[in-house]
Amino acid sequence: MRKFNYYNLFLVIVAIASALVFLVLVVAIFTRQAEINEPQSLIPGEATEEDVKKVLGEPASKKSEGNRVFLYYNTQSEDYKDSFVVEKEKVKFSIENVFGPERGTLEDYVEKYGKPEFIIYDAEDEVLEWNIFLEEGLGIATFNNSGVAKILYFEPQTKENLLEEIVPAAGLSLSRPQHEPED
Amino acid sequence: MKKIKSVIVVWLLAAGFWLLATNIAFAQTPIEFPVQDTSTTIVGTGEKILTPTPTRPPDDEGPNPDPAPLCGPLNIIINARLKEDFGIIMRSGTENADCETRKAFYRALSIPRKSQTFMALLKPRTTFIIECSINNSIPGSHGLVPSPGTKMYYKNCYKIKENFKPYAFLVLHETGHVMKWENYRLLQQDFPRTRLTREDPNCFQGGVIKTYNRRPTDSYSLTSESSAEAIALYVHNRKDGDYADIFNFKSECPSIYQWAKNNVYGGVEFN
Repeated sequence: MRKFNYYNLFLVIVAIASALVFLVLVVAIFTRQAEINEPQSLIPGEATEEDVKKVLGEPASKKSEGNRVFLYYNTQSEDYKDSFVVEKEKVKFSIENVFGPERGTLEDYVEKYGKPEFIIYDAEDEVLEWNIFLEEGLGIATFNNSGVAKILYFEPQTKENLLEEIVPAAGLSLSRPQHEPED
Repeated sequence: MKKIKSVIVVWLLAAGFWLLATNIAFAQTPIEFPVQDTSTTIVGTGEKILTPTPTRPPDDEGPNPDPAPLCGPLNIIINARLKEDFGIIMRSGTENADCETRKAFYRALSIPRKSQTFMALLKPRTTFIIECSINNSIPGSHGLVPSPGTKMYYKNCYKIKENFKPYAFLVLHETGHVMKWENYRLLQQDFPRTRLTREDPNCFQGGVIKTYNRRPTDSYSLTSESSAEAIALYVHNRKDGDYADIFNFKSECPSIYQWAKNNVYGGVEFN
């Protein structure tokens, strides 16, 4: 009777395990790369308030202003909240806070979408510059011309419409804020 | 023997495979840049800090400034040292920033210079400008760091010659704002103002560290000014503010003190 060849079995197991590990790592690389530029799933103009709550749960706080409802969600920081603004039952725009490199750099967005159409500023934060990609419905707030601190998601629209309908409500401005001096 | 050789070969191949795979994966993983002192405390992350890992300097005996360098003819020497040591270009606006004023600014920053972590946060790549302007209608001195963070305006710079300590504090507070531009995540986004307000409630008023001489209402300014004030308080340990005083920052505001110690000064203490 032929003896069972454990040695060959061992070789096969090692080969399969190594191949699996390599495959997992390769998949991880490519899915991570996709995450950098992938917009969030709650698409402005399509998602409703109910959709937002289904995905994210009940907001930490909520306020109404005119015909708009602002939903605020906790982030990893106690000092920053993500926001969704709902108008006529649909998400008008949302702002996501980014605390690390997971959403890439400005260069990644420029490489994918070309140069931003224009730049606006945060009404409070003198450091951030909001790079607006109109056709993609993205506003990328950067510091040091590269690091991403916030992302504005909106329906693709004209510059005029954005400046009128979204910029003021999103706390943005055409000019940098001026702060009072320290005594 | 043949079998043993085969086993070794297989293991080497598997190990090589593993190394290749991990190198490919991690080559594309963005690196968070930890700024680490020789105290081996991870002091936070910063964007685009290019200096090598600092070593911990010896503890100072107290927050005393170093002697300033000579000015030289036309302030050539002091200007060169301000630029080389702190990345500062000092300009006269409507006020003539004379030799002694420039030396006082140098001395003001020579105190925190003892921390290599602080210096790494201050001097990543660019210089910044300090511009002095006279303003006879105000008794004190004002500092302001407007966009894009490369210029610092002072009204009545000369006051630092007459009363060094409070104006040295102001210089360090404003320098904290300059550092924020280059270290946005660390000094603004990640500054845990709400937590610190909870842990050191007696050190805050209206959401900002109470020795700050204004009371902003927007959340960005509350954080920005608290961060800068903490950077200055850590070194000087006290301030007589317009609204409130702190006489011993280390004992009165231990959580804020710890934040500054770990994230800005790499464990180096001045008090």
